[in-house]
Amino acid sequence: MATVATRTLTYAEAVNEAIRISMRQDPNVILLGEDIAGGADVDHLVDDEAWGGALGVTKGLVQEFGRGRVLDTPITESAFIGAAVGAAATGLRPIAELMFVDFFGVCMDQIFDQGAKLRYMFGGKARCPLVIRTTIGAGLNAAAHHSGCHYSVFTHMPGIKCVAPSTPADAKGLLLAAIRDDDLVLFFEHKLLYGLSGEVPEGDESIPLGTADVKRVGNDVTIVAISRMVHQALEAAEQLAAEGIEAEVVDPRSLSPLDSDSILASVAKTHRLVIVDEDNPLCSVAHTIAAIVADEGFDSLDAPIRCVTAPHTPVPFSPPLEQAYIPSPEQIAAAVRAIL
Amino acid sequence: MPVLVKMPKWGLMMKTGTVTGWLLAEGDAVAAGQPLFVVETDKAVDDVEAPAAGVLRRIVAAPGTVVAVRGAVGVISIDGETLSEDAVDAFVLAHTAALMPAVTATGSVVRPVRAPRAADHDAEGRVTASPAARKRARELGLDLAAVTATGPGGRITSEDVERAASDDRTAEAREDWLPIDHDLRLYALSAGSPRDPAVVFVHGIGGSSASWQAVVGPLADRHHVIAIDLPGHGRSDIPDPAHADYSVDGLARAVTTAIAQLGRERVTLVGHSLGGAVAISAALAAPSIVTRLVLVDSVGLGDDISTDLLTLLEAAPSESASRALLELFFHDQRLVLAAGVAEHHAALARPGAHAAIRAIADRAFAGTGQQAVAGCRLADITQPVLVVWGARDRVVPVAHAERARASIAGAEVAIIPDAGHAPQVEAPAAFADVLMRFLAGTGS
Repeated sequence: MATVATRTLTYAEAVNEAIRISMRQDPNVILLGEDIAGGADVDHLVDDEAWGGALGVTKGLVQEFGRGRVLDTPITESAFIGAAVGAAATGLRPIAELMFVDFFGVCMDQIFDQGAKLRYMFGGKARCPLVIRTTIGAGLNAAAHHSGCHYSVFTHMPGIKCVAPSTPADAKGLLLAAIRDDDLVLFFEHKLLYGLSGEVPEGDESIPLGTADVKRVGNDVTIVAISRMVHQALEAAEQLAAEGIEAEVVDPRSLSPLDSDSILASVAKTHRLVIVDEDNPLCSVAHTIAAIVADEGFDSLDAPIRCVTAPHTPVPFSPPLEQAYIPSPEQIAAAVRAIL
Repeated sequence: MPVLVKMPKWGLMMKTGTVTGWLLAEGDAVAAGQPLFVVETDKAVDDVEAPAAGVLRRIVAAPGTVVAVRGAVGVISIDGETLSEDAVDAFVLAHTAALMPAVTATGSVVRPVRAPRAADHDAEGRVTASPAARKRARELGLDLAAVTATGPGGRITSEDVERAASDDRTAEAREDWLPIDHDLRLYALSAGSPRDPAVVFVHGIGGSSASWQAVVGPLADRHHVIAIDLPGHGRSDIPDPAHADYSVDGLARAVTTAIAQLGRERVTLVGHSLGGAVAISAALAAPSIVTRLVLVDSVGLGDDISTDLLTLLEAAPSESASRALLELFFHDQRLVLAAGVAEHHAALARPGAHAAIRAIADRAFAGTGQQAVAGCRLADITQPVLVVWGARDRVVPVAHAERARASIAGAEVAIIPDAGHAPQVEAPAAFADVLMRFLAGTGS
């Protein structure tokens, strides 16, 4: 494998770079969403201070690609997600930004009943090459309206691919692949990861959707962790390593399609599985992974499968309660100890 | 990388040895194979040769030290390497540590493992075991009831099953006295896992299970090896010849009963000399039990037998008679050692032992030849047969091997050069090689 040059970027910069590369390569790639240019049309704000979205991820793109391809929309998710679905069906390759995933309810018809079903209902003659980028996750004291994960809502639906990167490199590589994909992709960016720095390959290096990544190798237990929980799991793994327990941390990266083969292979080696998911537990990705392993990997198991998830509540606003809501390294380590 | 000098394992029952002296001092140059130190066990005293050439860098076990089999005795540095004291310490420690679970050679922390306990059971008595443990136990044919648990709540894990299987496989050799009749218990030495194919060894007249000593170990890795002492021999009982059946067929019945007592339903039967005739008899009488037959310098394939042997069996037990017998057996006379002569004589000197052996000889060899010839019945043998012979056998002529090939359909014949009547003793490596090829190449 050829060595690829890397340099350090934040997760937010990696997302931005993937969009920039795609927009340079393909004039059909456009951006639309609330404040993604942000202030670019306001007389008293100069362009280079444009917001670039609520969290600044698309900053600078309007300057390079202009307001014709970077569209600020009204605060009407149903309208601009619907417009994005239509644009995708008619030949563009749009990237829409849903500011917080918690707002999906407003535009669910456009996503679920239109975008997700287009290709199927037109027998493959229509496509929906649309990426909806959205933010997930608790930890910013942003209260219940802005702090959920909710990707399990979308993994439930056929016709939607779901991606949840945990590192800057994965964010860039997976977003490049998502933009090129001919299906509707929901791209879940964790708010608390935007400032995370890491080595990111230069250039157009995409990562295929549907491939998991082993973030830490170990023989004693498999910890499957999603998005930011990968880092909680790695921290737990370090605690456990001090006790002589070597955990393998598997990051699915894509939630739909899910690389169950990699998870099963790891469990076949370690015989034990803990799944960490910040999403609410019922009908969750965590429980789906547990079900797949109980079904296809039953004879590999030496212990019950444990899920460490958020509780079945909205995200609390109270900072101590919010911290208690998020699966912690201590909880993960305790779950591992309980099955060893 | 230095070479560790370890305590040897002489025989299946040896667990420790005492280092009684060193023949070289620390710092002396040493050649591979050069006698290096002296070990005493409850059965023998002998020199142990250096495993490699170099310099005797460290004497770990000073004279008088009792060391477990395979334990560290010394360190030889090789290729002119210079080792600090710390490096030698670390090397010895690494080896010692490798023998103890829960500490790695690198000294890193190892996952704590719960002490094994009896497995839990549910309300219906079903043992608590993980899916992986159940699957592995099925694959290994292991009963979960025999496995202790280290999982939380007394759950058996796949590691527990592997551990139980491995314990089973590397279990120390065991000794049994199997009840055959009201006045007869047969001694059986067994090694290896009872889940592996069984190979049963039967010695010749005046011999014992000890004659298989050198081949049992190598075989036990993949076979359940059982060496039996015939009635009146070794450590088995000596029933009164006035009542007991010392015929070849009677001995064969005792052997098949012993096999049943050990719970084995199908075995490969290996017989040496008179034990070969016993094995043929058992194979003909119980073909469902004896599924393969190995005949080693066997009686029962022709009429000829050394009259010297018959004379010596007749003579009153004495050290000189035992010596003459062993001289007759071995091609390499250097193998006739004082210890072997003494052991042979001691066995015959047991009260009743000589009478029992004469009773067997009377029935098997009518004064000048073999009575127990299965000759006409050899064609009835349907099992795969291997015939092994020492090329220099002076007790039973090697020509009988060819007769066996002609009489028994499909019999394989292996002649071991430069070996006398007991190739399993004179050329154990060649013998084990031939036997293992046969065991691997034919179905059980």
